[in-house]
Amino acid sequence: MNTMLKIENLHAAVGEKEILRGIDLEIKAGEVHAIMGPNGAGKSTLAATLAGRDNITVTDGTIRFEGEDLVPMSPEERSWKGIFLGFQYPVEIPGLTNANFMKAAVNEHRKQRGLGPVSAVEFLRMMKEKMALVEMDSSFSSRAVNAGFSGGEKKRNEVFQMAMLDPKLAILDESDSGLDVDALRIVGTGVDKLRRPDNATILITHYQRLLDYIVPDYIHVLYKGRIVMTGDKDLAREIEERGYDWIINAL
Amino acid sequence: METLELKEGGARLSVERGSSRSWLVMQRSGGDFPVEITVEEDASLELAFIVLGDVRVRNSLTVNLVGRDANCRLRGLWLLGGNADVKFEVRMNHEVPQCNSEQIFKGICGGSARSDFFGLIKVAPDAQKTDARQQCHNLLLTEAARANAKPQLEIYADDVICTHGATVGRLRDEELFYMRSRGISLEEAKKIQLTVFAAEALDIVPEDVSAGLQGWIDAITLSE
Ligand SMILES: Nc1ncnc2c1ncn2[C@@H]1O[C@H](COP(=O)(O)OP(=O)(O)OP(=O)(O)O)[C@@H](O)[C@H]1O
Ligand SMILES: [Mg+2]
Repeated sequence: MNTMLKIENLHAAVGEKEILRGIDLEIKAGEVHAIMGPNGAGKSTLAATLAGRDNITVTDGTIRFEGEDLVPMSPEERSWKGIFLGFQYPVEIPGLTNANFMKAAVNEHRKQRGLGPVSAVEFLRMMKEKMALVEMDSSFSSRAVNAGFSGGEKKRNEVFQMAMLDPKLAILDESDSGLDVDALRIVGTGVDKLRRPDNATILITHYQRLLDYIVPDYIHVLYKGRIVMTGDKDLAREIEERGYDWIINAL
Repeated sequence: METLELKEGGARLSVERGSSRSWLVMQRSGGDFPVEITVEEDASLELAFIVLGDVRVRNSLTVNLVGRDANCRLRGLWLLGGNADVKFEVRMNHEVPQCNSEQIFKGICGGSARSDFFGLIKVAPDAQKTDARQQCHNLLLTEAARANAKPQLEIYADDVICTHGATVGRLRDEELFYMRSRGISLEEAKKIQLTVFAAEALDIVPEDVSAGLQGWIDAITLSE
């Protein structure tokens, strides 16, 4: 299978503080990788580094996406290439409706592929279909992006956006946190439906539950900016039962 | 909404008892514009100022609410670049009971532009049941741009609602990154943020006028 993402010896810092301290990770098309690890391990920093957050500096190592060096690319270029980040803390944009936000995003993606703006009819059809995937009420399309959304609604909105943009590599940073049991099932099965042989997913999560819906090929444990253990889907259950001490103590 | 051409030296206007007027002032060139408007009983005034470009403007506006149930909706938007220098002073005088006024000002300064806003709400001793609100928010796009916003309340009545808010800020990086992560280019993301920011001051302005401002917003986004 094709290697989609290849991270080698990645070191990254926020200001003077080195947070990622030598990460190696290879993801092939069709795979789902879960990343777990204690609070502050660097999971969100890794996700943001992949998405091109500009306050993070890659100090060493390489990130290649479909063979191309990702590091010099702007966040929007990465999105055009097919990378999507579902934020742990989705950002509120008062005054901009979800529909207009998505229209701008979809049209920029189309522009990059040499296509004209999406037609009103086609756009509405897409919105309807993708909102249905995460069982979002249509009223959310005319509400300002994430403004006043509940925690769970924000997470659904991230997965909705993922569906709209149809990325090759989706990185979902705790898209399961703050969801009630029904919403978790909806989001979990929604993301699972988006799985294809030609795309890949990184799921950052603290809990085993999400992985019942989207069974990962690998689970990695991130600790202090390094991947300290990699296992299969059963590792999540073991972590749920035993915590991280046994992994950390064995280092 | 009617266009009001202000001449150097300004204007004195009134909105007569029971009537309503809606004026748009577009300012693309400089000057000193003292304006005083009297709003009589049961009359309503809508007034929007739009100041554009690299201009030196001195606006000094006084609105006197002199009859019961008079009301005023006042809007101001300035989109400035280059060496623009805009002073905007507003005095909203609630002279009698039961009037209301609502003011929303939005300013965007790029280049080396500067704006100074001063807004006084004055409520006379017997102007009970006054409802007076004022907001002035500014965005600076460059290090060299400057904005000041100084609200002032002088309230001599006790049964009133008076609120004001003033801010000077910059584009929000979190929002820009969020939009960019969805493939919206940095330039487009900035334009969106500016358009959304300006929109609140354009609620009383006809659609074709606000749509016509997009070119100015685009230009200002690039002007840094
Ligand atoms: N902008 C920043 N400035 C300073 N320190 C930062 C910044 N961003 C992240 N850090 C630090 O980097 C470390 C890793 O943070 P990160 O958010 O990646 O952790 P995480 O694994 O996602 O944790 P959680 O499970 O709580 O979401 C933390 O110690 C955090 O305080
Ligand atoms: Mg995190």
